[in-house]
Amino acid sequence: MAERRNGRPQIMIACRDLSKWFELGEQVVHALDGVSVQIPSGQFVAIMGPSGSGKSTLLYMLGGLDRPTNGDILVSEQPTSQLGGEDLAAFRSRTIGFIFQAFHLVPTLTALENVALPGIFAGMGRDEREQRAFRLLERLELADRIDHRPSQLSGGQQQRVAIARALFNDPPIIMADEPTGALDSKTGQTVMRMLRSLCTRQGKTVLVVTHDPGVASYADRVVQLRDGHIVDDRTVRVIGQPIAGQLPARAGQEHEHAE
Amino acid sequence: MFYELSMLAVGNLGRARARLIMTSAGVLVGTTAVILLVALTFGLQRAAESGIGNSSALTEIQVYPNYSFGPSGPEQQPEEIPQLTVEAVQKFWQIPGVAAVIPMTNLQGGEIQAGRLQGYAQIIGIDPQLLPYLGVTATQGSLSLERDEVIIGAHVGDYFFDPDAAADGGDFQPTLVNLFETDFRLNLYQYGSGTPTQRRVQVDATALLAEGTSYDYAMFMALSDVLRWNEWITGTKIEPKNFRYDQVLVRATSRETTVPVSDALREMGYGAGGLGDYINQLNQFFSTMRLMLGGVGGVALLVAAFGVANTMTMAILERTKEIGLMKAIGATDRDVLTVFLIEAGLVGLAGGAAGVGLSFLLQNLINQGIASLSAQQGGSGQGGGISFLPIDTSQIGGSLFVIPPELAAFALVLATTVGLAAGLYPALRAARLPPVIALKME
Repeated sequence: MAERRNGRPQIMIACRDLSKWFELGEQVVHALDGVSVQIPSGQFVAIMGPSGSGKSTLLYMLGGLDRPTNGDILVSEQPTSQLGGEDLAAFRSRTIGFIFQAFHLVPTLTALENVALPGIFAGMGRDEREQRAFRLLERLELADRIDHRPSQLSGGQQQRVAIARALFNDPPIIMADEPTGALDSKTGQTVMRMLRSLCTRQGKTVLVVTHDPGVASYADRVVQLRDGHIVDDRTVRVIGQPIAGQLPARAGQEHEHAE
Repeated sequence: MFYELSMLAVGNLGRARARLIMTSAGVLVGTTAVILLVALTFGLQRAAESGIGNSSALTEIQVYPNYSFGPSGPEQQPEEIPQLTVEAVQKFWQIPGVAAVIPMTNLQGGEIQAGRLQGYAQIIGIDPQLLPYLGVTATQGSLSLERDEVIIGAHVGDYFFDPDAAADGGDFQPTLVNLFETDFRLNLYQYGSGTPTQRRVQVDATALLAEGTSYDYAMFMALSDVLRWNEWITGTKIEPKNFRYDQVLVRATSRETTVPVSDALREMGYGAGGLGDYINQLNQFFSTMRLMLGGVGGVALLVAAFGVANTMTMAILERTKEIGLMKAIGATDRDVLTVFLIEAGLVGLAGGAAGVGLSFLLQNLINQGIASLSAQQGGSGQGGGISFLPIDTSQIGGSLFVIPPELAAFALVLATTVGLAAGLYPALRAARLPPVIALKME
């Protein structure tokens, strides 16, 4: 599990001259203005910046949830800015696992059904869906919560269910928008360690949008945005070579924080 | 996959139960209104039809020469008008949908003499083989005719009187004669030059007809007998070439063929009439009535449709983020559309099913109420009429509302369709929502 999988493109995500303009009355707002970035496969990237800097817009556009006004996007070798509706849905289904600040679990479904939801849209059979969802929940130590509805789960448990859902179709990329924003700091750390582990152990490419430097400290690379421009892009750690002293305090605490 | 999406929709319906119930209740009211109003027209139609007579009357067509006169005199020369000739009768047999052609000729004159009492009747000559097609039944005896035999209409014996007593200025009260059990004869008269010659023909009754047909005051005789006596009465030999029947009854194979057969006869230049035509007009009237009353109910359903649309719009507004989420994890526009359409369709179906149930319940309650009311009034000898209803309830057997299974099925389909149609616009809006907008919606 520790080795990186073969067959993945070296550059997982690339964009060039990416722009997004909104019209607000007579004013044109440049949410993103000529952003170019390349993210290698298996990198953990934190996108940081103040509110309105365009960091969420960048994430959603790279994830195929929004369309750019200008520029090209290549994700997992697919030109997503040119894909049509059905293809884009299939792309999101297979390539990206999304995690949101507000979890976005369906309140009428159990934890198991929520995790299995992407399987429905992928056209997977019921048995396979439920088995896979159960294995994922087991891995995230939620095996005893499969029949609970979101309202019966704590915030941390809900976000773990959301992570399991993001992993359901085994996508090469995980995108998280402020994943710890609705959690207390301890629970937030547990969630970040999970994302880190997905990157380190399974070689997933992880993009996290955050304004919390503590969250960004889990990343290999931190991209700073301001007013729609990249103002700083710093690789703090080379993939596969953890920087000594970066995570010493957290080692061995994993099980204590698991709820 | 459709099953899974349906289950999602069912789960979604459980979220706001009060709202679901109220929205469905709107559809329920609309559906019930449509069903009951249309059921009323079915009930009234049945009552109207049962008042007309037996079902055999519905396949009867009376054929007659079409002496139609326009405003400025005859449209055709009388000699050009097709007549009821022997040849014509043969042609009538060729029309598709004809079960039988029954030509009839009346005996020209004649009176009935039973002892000292005399009476009159239209005496009709008919081919004995065609008796089964006449649409009459015997209450006594059996339907057959040999030489010098007659079949008696139900009320022929009602008005007999004694001519001598009448001549003496005595009691002119009609006497009722049971002709089936009394010996009687026919008196025929030949009016040549001078005094008329009387001829007495002893006849036997083979059957007494059930009442309620157009032959209550008629007698049937074999056609050959009537022709023979007519030759004697008129003193002229009947030539088949010049012969005209007095009336021709065409019997259609079924109620449905009555109209085409009538049309074919009219095309041949004859007049054709019968209850079948009347029934058709009646049906047309009730169809129009059904449309109108159904439309009134439809207005209630239309109001309900706006309720469904409103509920779906609200539901979609509330669940905008969820729509964004579904799209983020791979749902296509079509998946989202399907989920919301199924939801809307289910709201309609639920309301429709409840409406069908309520309709049957109300139908039974009202019909039972009418039945017991008319039973009470019937007991007082007033013929079972209810004063506030413009119809004779004794004729409808207590069924003012009739809900055929097709109507119930139609109402279900209609309610579901209304739900789907009402949900279409909100569902389309949901499906087209860009995921990022949906996710960020507050």
